[in-house]
This record gives sequence, structure tokens and C-alpha cells, in this order.
Amino acid sequence: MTVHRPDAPVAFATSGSTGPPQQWLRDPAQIDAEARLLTALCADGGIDGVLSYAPPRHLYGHLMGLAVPRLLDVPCLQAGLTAPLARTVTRWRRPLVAAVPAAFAVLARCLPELARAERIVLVHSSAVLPAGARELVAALGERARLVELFGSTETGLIATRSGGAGEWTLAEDTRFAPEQEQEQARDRRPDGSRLLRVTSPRLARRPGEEVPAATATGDLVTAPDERTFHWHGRANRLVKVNGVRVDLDHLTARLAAAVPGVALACRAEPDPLRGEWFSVHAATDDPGLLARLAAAVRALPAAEQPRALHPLPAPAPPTREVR
Amino acid sequence: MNATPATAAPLRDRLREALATLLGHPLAAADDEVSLAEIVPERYDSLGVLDAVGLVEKEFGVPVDLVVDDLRSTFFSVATIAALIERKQRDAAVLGLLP
Repeated sequence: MTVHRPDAPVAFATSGSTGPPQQWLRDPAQIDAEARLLTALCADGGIDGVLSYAPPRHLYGHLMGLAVPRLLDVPCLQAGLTAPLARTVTRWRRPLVAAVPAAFAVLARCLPELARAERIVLVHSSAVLPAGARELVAALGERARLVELFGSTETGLIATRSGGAGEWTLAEDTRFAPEQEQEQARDRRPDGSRLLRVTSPRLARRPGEEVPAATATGDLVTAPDERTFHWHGRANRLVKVNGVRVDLDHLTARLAAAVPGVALACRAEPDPLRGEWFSVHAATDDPGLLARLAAAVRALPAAEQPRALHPLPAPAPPTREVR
Repeated sequence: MNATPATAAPLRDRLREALATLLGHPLAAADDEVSLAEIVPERYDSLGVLDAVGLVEKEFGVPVDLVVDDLRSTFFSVATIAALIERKQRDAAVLGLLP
């Protein structure tokens, strides 16, 4: 039996097709500090329970489903996407909901139950916000508040915003990392955006390594001042399908290697349940090649399955992001 | 949207074809009773079930209720989904809710 010491770091793994899963360690003090930040952001005025759709094996689910409820001494229910709202939740007057993209579509089917609450805080983390989130908040009226969290397994919470649009504000213990001259030259884009680099006391570390002084996230931003930034998209062709990272360039290359001779493009698309998804476009109408490509697509891991495989039209230049 | 009541066979055929397109995987009539999660495990997870719920509502004009219609049993297979659609269309016809 493995006994987890209370002072031992907690390990979280990155997921998806960006490479082999990597472990990132967070010390209990970092988790406690982030839980306190989240409590101040999401639970001011008091909550009487947390409904979490996020799996606790990931950092967001661990924080919202375990650390925050423990800090506030309130119950937490782990929700399933295909199950109705538990009766306990419908009795809460001030629930805090840790959502994943699909949760908004599910909660929209539970409006009468949710409308019994005095106040409901909906939290969304690090994925493209589905259109249904804004519709749900509008349907719930003034009782609902939407809090978006920007961060990653590697960085923890970086920034937040409310209302589903506008600039992001850095978490109170987070700063933009000072840029060296060579980094400035390398990281700047023609549109004036640059790679987001941050420093905070909550950066995770790899096993056997020290906590890094700063981390670049792969996001392109412009910063009007020292505390806020505007998100322009990602520097690479990464999409987050239900929070799982999928590198479209990497995926395109793998499919092209499996079925040589077909020009392919993977295009990101908004999705009401997953935040964003993608389709594979193949510039061929050869039934044999398409059947081989379909078999190669079906052989992909579940987290990297595309929405659809489309023959023709010819692939367009890769798109960078969909927001 | 087509809310016309259908007999089981054409309804199942239409549903099977729509689900095959949705899930990107051919579905055979012989497998109608088999769990979709078993046939297409890489696509028919909880999100796949919700995709199927949206498809049924849009294509067959029947509302699905998370409380009344236990999704674990009603969205188990082509046969169980077809039975749900048929029952809801029959109920709607009795209540005079069909156009």
C-alpha cells in the first residue's frame, strides 16, 4: 500500500499528443496557495458546495474538487456528464461549479434546478470557452457568474477573467517574466504579440529538477500593462480537445506517414462539447486511399480522434487557432 | 427535422446510418444490440453519448431528458436508442404533439 505523506509533492501528468506524458510535481504549499487564490476568486460571499466535472487526477480537478472544498470545509460532488444533477446539488443555495467544456451543455438542460440557487459561480479552465457557456450564464441571469482560468499543468493558474471576453488579469502572485534581448527578438511576432512568459511561486517542477525561474507557455499575447494581457492564440498548432492537448502538425505528419501520397490538413473547429475539435481533410477522392486513411484515423488513440474525415477540397494553409 | 413515426426497421436503418456518420465508423445491422461503447470505444465515451443525444434530438425531433431518460441504458446501443425514439414519437402522437 502506498501512503501519501502530507508534505510530499503531488504529481500531475500532461496529456495528449504533444509527446510522451510528462510528470510535473507540485508541493503541498503550492497547492494550498493556489486553492487560496481560487477561493478568493470564485467563492467570495460564500459557497455551500462544489460540483466538479473535472477529474481530480488533473491539476484543475484536484484543486477545485479536493483542495478548495477542503479549504472551505464544504462538500464536493464529482459530476458525470451523462447523469442528471444529484438531488443534493439542487438543494445548494450557492453552488460553485468546476466545469469542463461539455458541462455547460449538460447544465443548460438543468435550468429549472439551477434556477433555484441564489447564486451560482461557473468556473472554466484553459480551453476554448464553448458558446453554450455564455448562453447558460445569460439564461441564469444575475445569479450566475462566469470565472475563466488561464493556466496549465506546468504553470498552475496564470490569469483570470470574468464574463467570457476581454483582457486577462494576472493572478496576484504572478508576473510577466523579464525578457532578455535575444528572447525579445526571437519571441516577437509581426503583429506585435509575443510568447507569454511568466514567473510565480507556483510553477511546477520536473522530478529531480528545481522549480524553474520562469516558464514560456506557447501562447501569443500583447500586454497593455504589467498586470493584464490580450490572448492572440497559440504559437504552435495545438488544440485542446476537452482539455487534452493535440498537436495538429504532429497528427498530420503521423497520418501522412500511415497513408503516403495524400495531401492532408487537420483543421481546428469550435465544438459545443469539447471547446474545440478538428477535422481531417484529404485531397483525394480515391476510395482505396480514403479507406486506408479512415482505418488510420480509427487507429488513433481516443483522445486524438477527429470529428470527421473529409475528402476534398484541397487542404488550405494551416490555421493557427480558432478562438 | 422529421418527427414522423416510423416502423422499427426503417427507423433503425436511418439511425444506424446517422450514428455511423457521427462516430466515423461503419455500423452493421447485426450489431444493433451490441453496446456502441464496445463497437466504437475510441468515440463512444460520455462526450460521444452527448453527441448522440444531440443527433437524436435534431434528426428525429424528440427531446431527451437527462433525468427521465437514463442515458446509460437508453443510449447503450442502436436498438435501445431506436426504442427510445419510437416510444417518444408514439407518446407525442398520442398527445397530439406531432405536426
